[in-house]
Amino acid sequence: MPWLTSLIDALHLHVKPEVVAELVRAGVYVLLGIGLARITSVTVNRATKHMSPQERVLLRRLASYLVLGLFLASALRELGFRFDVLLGAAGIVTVAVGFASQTSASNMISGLFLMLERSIAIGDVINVSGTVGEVLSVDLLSTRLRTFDNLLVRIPNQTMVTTMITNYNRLPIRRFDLQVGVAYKEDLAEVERALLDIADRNPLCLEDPAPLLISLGFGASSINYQLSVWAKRENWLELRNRITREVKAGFDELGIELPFPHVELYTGPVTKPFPVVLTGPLAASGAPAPATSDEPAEGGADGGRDGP
Amino acid sequence: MWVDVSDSASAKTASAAAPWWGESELTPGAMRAWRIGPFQLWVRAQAHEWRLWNAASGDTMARELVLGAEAQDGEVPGDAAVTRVGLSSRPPVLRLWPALADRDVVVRPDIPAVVPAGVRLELFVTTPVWITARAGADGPVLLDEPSHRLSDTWFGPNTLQGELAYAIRTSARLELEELPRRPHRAITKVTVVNGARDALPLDKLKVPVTGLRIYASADEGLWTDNVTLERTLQGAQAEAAIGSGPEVPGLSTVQIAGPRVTTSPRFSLNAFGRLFGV
Repeated sequence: MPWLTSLIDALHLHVKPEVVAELVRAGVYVLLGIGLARITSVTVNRATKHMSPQERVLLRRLASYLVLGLFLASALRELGFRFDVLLGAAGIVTVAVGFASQTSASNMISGLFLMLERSIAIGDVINVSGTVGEVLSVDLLSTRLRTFDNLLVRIPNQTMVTTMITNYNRLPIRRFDLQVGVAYKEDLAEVERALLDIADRNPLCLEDPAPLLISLGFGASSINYQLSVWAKRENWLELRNRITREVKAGFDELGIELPFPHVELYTGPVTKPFPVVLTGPLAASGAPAPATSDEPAEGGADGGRDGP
Repeated sequence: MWVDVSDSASAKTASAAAPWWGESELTPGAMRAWRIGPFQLWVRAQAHEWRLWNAASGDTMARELVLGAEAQDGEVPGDAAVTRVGLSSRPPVLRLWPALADRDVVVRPDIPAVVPAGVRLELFVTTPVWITARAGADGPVLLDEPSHRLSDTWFGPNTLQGELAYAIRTSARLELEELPRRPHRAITKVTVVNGARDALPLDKLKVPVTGLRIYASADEGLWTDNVTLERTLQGAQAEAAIGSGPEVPGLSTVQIAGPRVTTSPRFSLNAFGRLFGV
């Protein structure tokens, strides 16, 4: 390699041999550092298989940067850098950097706390202030989520630590609460039996904890219940969909009415029924004249009790 | 062969005729049907693929047995689950075998019993078996479905700690003769020994079926290893012991299937209790 020979000759000519030796030693330190940092990274990776993925990544990086940092410092010392001067300046620089990077430092420390706490893990589905998604990674400064409509959300770790997080994956069983309203005319004992029987017949619904029926009281248009059923976490969505269908089918079979909201107008016995006047296409088609105010109109004067 | 086993006399005759488990050689391209209690299976083996359809009626009291009858496509209900496997086998041989549940089973007696201190109680419970199908003796598993889908349940002191299991309600008969025999259910004798100083309310108990083997008796009944649950201290913990084979009066038994999970013959488990406050 003639270029290398020329380079060495030039160095001999213009640079003192001691400096060349220092440069070579520094170069060797840097190369050694890079190589050992990679080996350290691989070794730490193998030794931490029992840990969570984000812990492994963090330890791997810390170890390799530490090794590389040590060798870089040795290389700089070879080149004649004086660390005591650096340390002196470092104090001033630290204050400046500290002010500038307080948010980043806070995020980094929050990230460490998140990992130590283990409240979330890669793969968990979490809700952070209304954003629901799957945790892709918990990095030093931020946590990344993939929402169910495939958007990537980056949340600073400081936000993760200071915000309420709901983890949907952590516990093995989960409860679904179905709100059901039945018409006022229904036999409530039959309704309660029917709801519990429907839950009992569904194999996805856990026998223990037992399904729970709670009366929610008298609503504007219905008497309301809450049927709470438990399922294995993986079956929760399927149970949610199936139990709704099964309640509807079961009620239809028993003739139990699921009422729609309706309002009954009643002015008391002293007033006459409301007159109903047809307008528009029905009137134009020659529909029978409406009843007078002395006679009740068909289906109109009782406030729509019969419903549509 | 269609066998109507709706009454006990016919049941004995039918069950003595042939067990539903074993190997059957299939005619390539032809559909054959099996019915094992509430479980129905249709199989067609073609040159390069096998198709299996299965459905369960949900009637856990069903006793029908149909063994490899000829069937037509129209007999398969629309909601049957279908399995399609790319496989060449000449000649096609279907091996049907029973297996026990893939989770432990929590047995809840219809009428809760109480086992006084120092008392030993023997009871018989039946659990639905899983129907496993293989292509030949050593071929791949084509199907592993319950003959009757059991309800899921959680067994543990709270919703954070515990395990998923299956739930069955049983009359928990104390006399073997009272137990109705059904082709899709295996009988387990469970001995509960209350060695503690307080009475044991038997609201539910967990039977470790995943560690039990299946045996066939001479009258084509299905049995499992006996299980002894010994409670020595207050609480839900028990020492479980799995016996080596059932004791069927007057009949010999042969092991026909191993356990799902290999366990030691004795181990501790959380076997008794009410949820939330044992």
